[in-house]
Amino acid sequence: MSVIDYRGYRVVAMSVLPISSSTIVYGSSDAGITVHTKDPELNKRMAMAATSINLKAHKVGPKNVEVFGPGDIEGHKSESDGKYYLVDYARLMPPQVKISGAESLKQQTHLFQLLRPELVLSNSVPLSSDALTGLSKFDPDRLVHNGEVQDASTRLFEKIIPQFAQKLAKTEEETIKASTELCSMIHSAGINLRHLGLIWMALPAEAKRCKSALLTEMVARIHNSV
Amino acid sequence: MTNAKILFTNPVFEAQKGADWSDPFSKLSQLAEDFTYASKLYAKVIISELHVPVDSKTIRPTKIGGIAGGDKYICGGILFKFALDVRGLYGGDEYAMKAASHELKGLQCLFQAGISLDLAFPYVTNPSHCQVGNPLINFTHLG
Repeated sequence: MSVIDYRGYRVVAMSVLPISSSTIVYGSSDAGITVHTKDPELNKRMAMAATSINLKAHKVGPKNVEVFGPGDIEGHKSESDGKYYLVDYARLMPPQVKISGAESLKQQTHLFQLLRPELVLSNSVPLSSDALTGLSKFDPDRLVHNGEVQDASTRLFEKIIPQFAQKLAKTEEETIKASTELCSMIHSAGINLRHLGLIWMALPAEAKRCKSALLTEMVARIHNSV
Repeated sequence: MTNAKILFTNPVFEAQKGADWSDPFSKLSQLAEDFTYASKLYAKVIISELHVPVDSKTIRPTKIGGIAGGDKYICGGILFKFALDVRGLYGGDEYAMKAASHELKGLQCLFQAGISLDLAFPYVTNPSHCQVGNPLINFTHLG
């Protein structure tokens, strides 16, 4: 699979797979109306993989089918070669709770503002990929799942970002100068790069070089989408 | 390579599986390079012809289902998903593009979680990133 950016547009490329609507054995291809868990082997594999990245089982759809990972993931068993195929894993990570202004509240941010895998892995309890989304609206435990994701988001804003800012202020100048190193550090801490502004605000006033490096990164990123 | 057993689904690889390979990894590398080259080439055509009427496009969109992924194109055995907010789901094209990049991140995450054991992904080796000559093209590749 490849992501290709060209002239401000993005295309995802992947090889054509020997699957169809009749080969689905896991997840849902109709936004959670029909949820499949037909294949015990694939169910086991999904449970193992999800558990290892700290994702929990939850119920999806009107029939409350238990799945690991996002409800709209699709696991297929091909009729032509008998192999398993997985597609549509964009929402693997749980969404971040909405925090910003009115514009964000109108948007379906659960589709693109997700928690970092590092943050999910460091969370004390496993999280549900479908928390805070309509896919889990029939889940009797949805409030528990939503609460856990809200707690994880709060931990990010109130604990991880301020702690990271303190650590960054003590980092060597050379590391901060390199954009890739800086971004890698932020990601490793479980912080999304959309929160560069929050890190900037949490930095002490005397950390001028750090603030300057973050500002450069922010301007470059905004320029990219103008 | 990880110690996970990876089942490749590409027909070129499948054809080579029974052969006596002196250097299988160099062939895999060549396969990845071929995919990289072909997908970049076709993606440039698809994007360049965004505003061309459908009937006049060199590569025309195809209907294979899916709502959130944007328009789909198939060319050279590769499926292309054009990350645009065609249904107004995301609140803007830039957010549709962000969601598209999560597709690669999700795959990377599952791959690292070891689900590739006996599972055939669309096309997986190790993650790599490359910046090609044209500064307008940014290419992120897991394959």
